[in-house]
Amino acid sequence: MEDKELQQLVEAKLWQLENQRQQEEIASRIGRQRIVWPWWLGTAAAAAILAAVLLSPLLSGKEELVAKAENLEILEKLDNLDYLDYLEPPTHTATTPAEPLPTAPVATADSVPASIPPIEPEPVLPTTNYQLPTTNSPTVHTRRSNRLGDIKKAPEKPKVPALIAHYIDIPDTVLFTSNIVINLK
Amino acid sequence: MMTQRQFLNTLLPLQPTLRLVAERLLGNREEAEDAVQETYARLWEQRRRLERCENQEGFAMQTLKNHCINQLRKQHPFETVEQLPEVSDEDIRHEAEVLEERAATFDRLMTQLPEAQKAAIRMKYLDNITHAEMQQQLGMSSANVYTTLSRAIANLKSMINHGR
Repeated sequence: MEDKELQQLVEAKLWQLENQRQQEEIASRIGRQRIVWPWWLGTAAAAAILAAVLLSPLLSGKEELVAKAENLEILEKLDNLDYLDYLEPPTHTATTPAEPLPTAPVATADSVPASIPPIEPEPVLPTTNYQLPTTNSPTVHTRRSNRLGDIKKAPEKPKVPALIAHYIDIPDTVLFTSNIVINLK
Repeated sequence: MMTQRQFLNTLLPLQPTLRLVAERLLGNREEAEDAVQETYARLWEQRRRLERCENQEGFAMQTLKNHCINQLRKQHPFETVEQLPEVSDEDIRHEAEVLEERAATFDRLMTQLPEAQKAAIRMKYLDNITHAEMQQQLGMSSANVYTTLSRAIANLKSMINHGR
């Protein structure tokens, strides 16, 4: 562009456009987007809020009225009731007779069979060689059970001097083979 | 507390002036833009302080200058602040007003051009579109695009000379 003045104008316009671009960048950087809400959106929202505020008492009043009307209706029904109808036994005025209840069938001589088949004996299970333990088996007394005393006493053993009284729990085989027993004898 | 809307309404109009100052100080257009953006970010962070400030424009200008000085110190660690070019706020404001006025004149002249010539000028000088793209968008031959452009420039010059 040869004309200096025209060039200055174009440069100024470019400068202005650059400023606009940078302003948008700054605005977006600050966090504000250039959102232009339509004017009617705000108006509609305000109208909706206003209507809700104004109509809420009316709606609640309507509910109360409905509840009252229902209560009155119930009371009126109660007033119209004849309580004697409920005190006297009900009279059945059915036009058709009631059907008889079904009866159980009665056994007759013909219905019983002449001979009853004999009961077959139950098959005998094969015996095994297993034998239960006899009651003569030696009882085992633990120290704990002796201490508690809930087990019957052990059979009396031959009396021995007090010196070896504490050996009473030693098995018989030990007693007969130990020197102490020999010395006692 | 200052809202975003208040902040932008108050301080965004200062942006052209701030950019001119940054360009004068830094001598670079891209760095000047960055400096202005950084300045706005700092101002937003200090909006509580800014709200209490009486001269918000002066506060913004001083923030920008401090930022530019810091940038120059980083670039030239041995250059003193006194060696920096002296920038008068008044001169800068006047320059910004002149530029705004010229831009408005350009807009006014453009409205008087025919649509095709207006589009050609906008594409060529403002949108930086290539000649081939201009042919496609305008639906003209290469010769026609040249002719339209030359006629548009001639018309603009004529309007400037006649002071319209």
